[in-house]
Amino acid sequence: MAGNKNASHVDTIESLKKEAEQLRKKLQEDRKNLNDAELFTMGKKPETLNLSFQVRCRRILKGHTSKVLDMDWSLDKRRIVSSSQDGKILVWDAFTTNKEQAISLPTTWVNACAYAPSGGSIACGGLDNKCSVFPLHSATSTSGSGGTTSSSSNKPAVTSSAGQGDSTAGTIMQQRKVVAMHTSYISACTFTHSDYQILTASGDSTCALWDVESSQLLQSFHGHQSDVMDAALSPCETGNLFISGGCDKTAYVWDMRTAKCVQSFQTHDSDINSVRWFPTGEAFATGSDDATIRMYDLRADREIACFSKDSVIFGVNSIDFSVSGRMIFGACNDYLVHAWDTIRGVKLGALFGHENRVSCLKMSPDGTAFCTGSWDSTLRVWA
Amino acid sequence: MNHAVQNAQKLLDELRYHLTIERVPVSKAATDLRNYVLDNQGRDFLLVKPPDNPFKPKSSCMFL
Repeated sequence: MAGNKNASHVDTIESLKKEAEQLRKKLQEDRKNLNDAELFTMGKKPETLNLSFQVRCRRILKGHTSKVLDMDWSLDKRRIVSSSQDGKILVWDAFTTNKEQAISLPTTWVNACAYAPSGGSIACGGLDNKCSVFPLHSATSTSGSGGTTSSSSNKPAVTSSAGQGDSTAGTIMQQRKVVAMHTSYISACTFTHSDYQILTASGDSTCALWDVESSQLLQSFHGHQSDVMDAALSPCETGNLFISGGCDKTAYVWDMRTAKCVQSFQTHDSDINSVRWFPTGEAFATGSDDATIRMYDLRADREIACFSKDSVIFGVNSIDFSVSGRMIFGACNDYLVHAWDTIRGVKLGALFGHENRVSCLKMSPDGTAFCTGSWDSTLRVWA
Repeated sequence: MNHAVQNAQKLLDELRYHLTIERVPVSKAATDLRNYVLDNQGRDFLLVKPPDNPFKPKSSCMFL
């Protein structure tokens, strides 16, 4: 009878839950056993750092009319793509602060944007639940309309329907390729090691890997119990791992080939907003609404550092390491960028400049500078 | 209901898998992290002055 079947299911779930609890306890104990040292107190003390005179705001990029939500560097170390609540994507030359291209999307709140490794296209997504790829025009062409078709576009530019005097917007939307479709907002997107695959993180609690050419779903990653807020691919050339963090306060390490969750960490007290790898690919850090940045080591399988300060009580929206891993920066809701010395654990200082929440932060590919984006509608480059 | 059972079972399998991984003591992992940082911080241009940084022009000339 249906009634009996339901009852037995409930019992089964109860016993499975109990078993899960026991396994979790065992996992915690096993991890504790190898906690024989503290990252900050080991060995000879490395020299102290003086942050304040080294890093300053060098460029201010003005152009968005509303909150900047995300940004990414091109591998050429000078171009930046940014996305905003106003529905616009802007491509900048960070050296000259010139805007090279503007794309207007039909939806607002573009939460995520990414630069393709080749520099020939960008990906973006947000409240439209989709991740789309747009080709980029070379810096010399000032408008996208007309006969020239960039080689990276997937469809020939149809100019007959867009008249001669039509805005660039018409043509660029025709070159748009929708690659990913989730059932909730896109929170993060990144190209994998080539222009041909994209990894997305979504409010629908999944991450997914997509093929750009065919827009096919290659792999789906289930495990988070709530919105996934960020995902990051391993920096290792042969790496098959990526990390994700979400509103369930948990960070997961995934194997892209098997879609298996290989490790999970739950030590934050609130939503994780940002995940970033340490340069070796053997550790990573997370930034959270609980106002801390925590570092986890994959081989030790546990949290090995927590960066916090009594004066830092606002959520951390985005984080990144300096190129050697010596410093970690956190973009916070108190309008500041806070910096810590990762191996001494001390706070180095805070960078002032933005006039509203700092929503995104990323180191340039060669580590000479980092860029921040803010709800004050500007981006700043610090070096 | 069956779905919930499947999910619970999947979670258990995952936890069992996580228990099997080979762990390294924190002392070893932390030492390796520190060594990487100390070996590479000479090339970290937010820490040391870079030979030429286009974001920090010495004169008012701009790259064209």
